[in-house]
Amino acid sequence: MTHLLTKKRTAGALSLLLLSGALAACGGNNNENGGASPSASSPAASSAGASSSAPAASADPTQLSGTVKVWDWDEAFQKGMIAEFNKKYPNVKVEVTVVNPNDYLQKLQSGIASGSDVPDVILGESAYRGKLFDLGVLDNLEGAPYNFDKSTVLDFTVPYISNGKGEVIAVDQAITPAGFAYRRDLAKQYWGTDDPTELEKLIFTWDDFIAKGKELKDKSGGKVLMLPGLGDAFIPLKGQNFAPYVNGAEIDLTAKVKEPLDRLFEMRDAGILGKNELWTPAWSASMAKGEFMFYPMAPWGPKWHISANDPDGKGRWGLVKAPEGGFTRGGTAVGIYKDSKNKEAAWAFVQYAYLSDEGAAYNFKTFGNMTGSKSFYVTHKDLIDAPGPYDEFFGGQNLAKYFMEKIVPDMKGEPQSKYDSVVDGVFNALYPLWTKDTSVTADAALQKFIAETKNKASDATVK
Amino acid sequence: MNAAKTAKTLMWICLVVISALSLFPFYIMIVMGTHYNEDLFKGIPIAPGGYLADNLKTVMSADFMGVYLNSLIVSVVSVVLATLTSTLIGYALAKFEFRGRKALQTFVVLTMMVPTQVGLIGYIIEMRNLGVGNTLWPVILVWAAFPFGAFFMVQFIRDSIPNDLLECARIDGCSEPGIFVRIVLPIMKPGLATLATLVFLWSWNNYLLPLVTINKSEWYTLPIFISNLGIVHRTDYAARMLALSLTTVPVLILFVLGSKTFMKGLTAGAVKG
Repeated sequence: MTHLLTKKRTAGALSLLLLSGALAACGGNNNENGGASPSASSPAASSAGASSSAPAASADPTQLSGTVKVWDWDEAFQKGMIAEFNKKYPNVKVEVTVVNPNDYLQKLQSGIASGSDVPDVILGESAYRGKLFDLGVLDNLEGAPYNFDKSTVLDFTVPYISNGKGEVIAVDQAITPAGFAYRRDLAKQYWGTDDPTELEKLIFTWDDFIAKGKELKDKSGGKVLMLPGLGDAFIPLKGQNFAPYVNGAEIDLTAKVKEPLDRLFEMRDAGILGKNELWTPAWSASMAKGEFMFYPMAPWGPKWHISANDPDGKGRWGLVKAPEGGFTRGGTAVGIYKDSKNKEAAWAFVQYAYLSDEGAAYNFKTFGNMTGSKSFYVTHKDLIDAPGPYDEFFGGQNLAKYFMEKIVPDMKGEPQSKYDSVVDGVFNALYPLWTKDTSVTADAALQKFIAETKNKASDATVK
Repeated sequence: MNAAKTAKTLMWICLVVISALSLFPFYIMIVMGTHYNEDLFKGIPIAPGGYLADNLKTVMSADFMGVYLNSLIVSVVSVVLATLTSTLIGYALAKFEFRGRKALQTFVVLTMMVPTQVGLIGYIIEMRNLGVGNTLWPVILVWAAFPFGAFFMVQFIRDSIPNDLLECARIDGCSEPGIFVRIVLPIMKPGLATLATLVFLWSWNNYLLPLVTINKSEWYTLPIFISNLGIVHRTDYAARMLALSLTTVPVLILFVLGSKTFMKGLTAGAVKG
């Protein structure tokens, strides 16, 4: 009898465990799907003068009506911006559906293929922007009814919002020129200065950077290194190579990544890089711990990297440009669906939220996002000169001004391609192996990189 | 006697250890929901933190209850639909001889082999033509034709309901619908409970289908909702963990309470006597 009871209990316990496992597994999946790296996107942005365009919209905003559907992941931005937008356009209703950037393209493609709901305003995050452009679903904004004039936005941003035919099919959500965030306390301790201008000279070239890295490693006894990992180092190295590397279905990977890989391996072998992978918990935690001097950072970084991962770090950080120039980090393009039934209203919203001076000012003050529109930097010079929302983390350094004056002038644009995400994906899969296995050489890495890219982009020729 | 005692003790130790190992992730999930997101990265939290109220605010600010209700509606209606159609198909195929029965059975097995993803776009188009796009219906109706359920029921009914019993009922003058309701259904309770549990779990956790068929935040189900929590440049894992706890724990308790029937279903039909 006891035996029977025990048997029953055992069966009971086991089936419970089975059920727990089922629930846990499902939970885990959701979480994974949910979101990994919201990371590389850039926040929203702003405005460009009424001058840039806004055809019917600018005639009499109160006359314009309709419902505009937007899919965005940043609900807080949209809520704030829509309220501002409706002050000027009271009869345009903007409906936001929150969509995870990791699922965005899949959801959009299913919608288009099945002929069901597709938003009027479509966002293309850097991770899939090239693929989105290649789908051919975004309207040419230089044509009617938009008549967007690309000379009104910062020149370096134009390639990021153009398709393969050179048509401008989106506007920038915010510009994403990047430099290095650095730890002032560590710079002062090991290099005797925390002044950005002095640091610029210390790491003027990548050779200087490696030399200073070795010095830092020796002085700190290996406790402080230059960058958290190979992923962080590769962002500026690859990002500074603006040359187009895709021609139709030909991917010239060697031209794009050989030099960056050589540099990357030089750094790895010099022992100045950590072993962290991007966006991992350890990587996030390292910011507050002070294990690394530099982190690549665009204007969205102060809020989402620094203040989030080092909330007690006010005054601890600085911004300096990377050796040998600027690069971009993240970035989101905003376009209009070519079969939208509300093109004018959609454009009125896009124009207001991301280009108009009013929208840009609200966006800059509230979220720290910087528009691509040139006119904002003239009309609202006062805003740029005034302390920004996250400058206090950087010891009062004026971040917006530094980005605009020191980093943007060096920037060039990089044409977008549907293979960009493939190349990034291959790199992200490979660099953890190169971190662990230090016997892999730069040449071997390049060959592996090419082979893997060939596997993933079977329709292309890769060299 | 001693040997038996030792064996029993060992078994209990094993059970306790396995249970602890399996339940630990659940405990961590619950505890993580009470911490500040960035603190989660400093090490696995064992003790509850003091950030529960803020995380709860993050979760609740995004209409969590509405989404919960959506998920409940979807799962409950799906369970009813799936068990109803599966049982009828299963009963017909297992207990009636008719022309095309074998072909039908093969067809059921064949459809089981087609992955859902393959028919996804066609399904969305079908739903749009039915005029139910962008509502909860596409997520529910997919369970109306559930090949695994039909297959499961065919096997279950074939094994657990003796033909003699049905014959007796017929001889006694019971009508066919009467036999189904009064005789077959009561015997099938464990099987129904098992199928219901599985359908409930699968529809509760379904991610892909609601992702591509629902384009309005107000109709989102829990998995989509949770994946959309805190996704701007920083993933709010703490809020997600809390939402996951709120999502899984009540359901788990529900199933624990109903586990007796569930277990019967798992073991029923396993031994032929």
